[in-house]
Amino acid sequence: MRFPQPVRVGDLIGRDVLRPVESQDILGQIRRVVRDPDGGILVVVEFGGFLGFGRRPIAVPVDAMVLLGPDTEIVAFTPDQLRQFPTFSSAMASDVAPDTVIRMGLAKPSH
Amino acid sequence: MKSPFRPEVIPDKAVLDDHKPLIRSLERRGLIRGGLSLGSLAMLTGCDVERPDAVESALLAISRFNDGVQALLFDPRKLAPTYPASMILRPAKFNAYYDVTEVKPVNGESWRLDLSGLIADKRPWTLGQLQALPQSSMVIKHICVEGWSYIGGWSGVRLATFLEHIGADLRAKYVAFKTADDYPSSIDMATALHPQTLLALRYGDEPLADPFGFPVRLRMATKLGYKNPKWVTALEVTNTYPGGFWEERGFPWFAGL
Amino acid sequence: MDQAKDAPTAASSAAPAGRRLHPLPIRIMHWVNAAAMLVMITSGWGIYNDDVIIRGFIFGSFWRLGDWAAWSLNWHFAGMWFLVVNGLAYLIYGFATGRLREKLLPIRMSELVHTVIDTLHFKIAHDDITIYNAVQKLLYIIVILAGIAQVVTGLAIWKPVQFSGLVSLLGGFQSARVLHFIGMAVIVGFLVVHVALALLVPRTLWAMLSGGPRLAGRKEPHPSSGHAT
Repeated sequence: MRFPQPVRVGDLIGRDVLRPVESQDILGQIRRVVRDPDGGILVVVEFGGFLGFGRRPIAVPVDAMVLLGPDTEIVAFTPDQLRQFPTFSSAMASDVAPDTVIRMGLAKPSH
Repeated sequence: MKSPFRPEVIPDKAVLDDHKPLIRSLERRGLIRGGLSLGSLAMLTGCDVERPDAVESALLAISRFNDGVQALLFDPRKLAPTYPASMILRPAKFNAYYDVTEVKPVNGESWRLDLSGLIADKRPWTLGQLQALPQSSMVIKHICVEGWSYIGGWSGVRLATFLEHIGADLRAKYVAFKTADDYPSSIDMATALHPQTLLALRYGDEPLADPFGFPVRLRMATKLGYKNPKWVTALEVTNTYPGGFWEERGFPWFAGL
Repeated sequence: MDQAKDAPTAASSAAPAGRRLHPLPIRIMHWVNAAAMLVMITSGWGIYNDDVIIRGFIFGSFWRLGDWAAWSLNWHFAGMWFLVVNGLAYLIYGFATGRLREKLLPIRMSELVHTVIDTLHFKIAHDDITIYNAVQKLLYIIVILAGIAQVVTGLAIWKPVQFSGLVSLLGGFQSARVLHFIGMAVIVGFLVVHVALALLVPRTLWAMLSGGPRLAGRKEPHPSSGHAT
């Protein structure tokens, strides 16, 4: 178990999303937290690109992510898998209010 | 000569089996052995100078000397900077010598703090008894030897208050800890008596969460993160150097900030 | 080294006119510093990997001193004494003998521009290795200041509570780490140029081993002689 901890949605916005590797490559930043029609919580990550070009939002299930102190990591998908994710469109889901407390697992630094 | 800062028994290599970072580092060592490294060039030789016994002994001797220098630099009245509660990172950052999935929660009801060594009243303590002592809070920076840091808000019993309460010999050299996750640790008495050294029971406004050491952990504003054991189960006051988990693997003992 | 053998008499070698370009204390301090710097840089790279500053970038095992972080740290905390004590001795010697002032000052802007233009035209003048041109002077001053800055930022990272005032002056603990990293980059940048030039003009390398040519009895180097011919 990754011991999911309570975290305020507003505190997640803007956090860096890293690869769980020693070099801590940045995959993107958290833009929004949304609920899909089935009630599942998705974290919308501004993903990929180079020097700010070619970035696009993708929705990652909250269970696939962990907290690493003030950063987050995607532990359940490789960058290659994430590249196959469809671009997130707002029509699919509704925003979770910033004061809502959700749960996210933990990780220790990778090295 | 017997050194107070080195374990008499070299740590069992089997311990490494469940310790991924160390195993990786050993793999790296293998890589270095396989070839020439800039580090060995720096020493103007092409052979393995990374850590032969003589080099290791010299480095550990300097590290012990540095422990002394650090103790001299430590000002018992100097307080670490504190921060507003709004800056507390919630939840805290997790780290251990094993993955978070290996955390084994401790039952607060049956938990006891065992006491030993130079202590007048060695009766074990319950969580309720600790909660009944005067509580202090501090919002301080946690600094890890790895380089990262975050601001955390900790509450609990000042270790100085607790040591006075149990009649500990405050002139003793060391306070040593044992933990539920087999992470022995020890600190100098001067730091144990520092006002920003707590037996922490709470983080933010909540009891410690399981991965952060519930029910009781040590939290010091004046030492690196690895000196702060979680899930503390035993405390000893002693004049015999007790060492610690990372210290036995090469990290400095004093580790003062 | 062979200074005593070459010196006609002890009295004349002590006289300013008979001085070597690099007196023995300078040579010893130079090579102690070179070893200490290499230890500090490569062990620092080992420490760096545990929490990278440039996301996505780590140092490969070839570049690191210490087989994992604990030993990189131990190397770093051992090397620091050699770097600091030797560096202090160098600065005291340099100020006391007037060497720093004599070798590194003055730097004239016109000369600086001139040297840069010459260098860009691959006209690297080094007939007289006893006199530094304006670019050399500037680089040596920068690297001395960077070395001092490394000690200051290093102290802030080592003892952020005991020297909390210094840490806030540097913009906080993480900022001090980044400054320490930048200082390293400046020194490594200097090293690359310094070593490349020493290999291009091996006489300078030999001079730092043997002491180099005897200085004439002049008091002040002529300002324009640095890029003569």
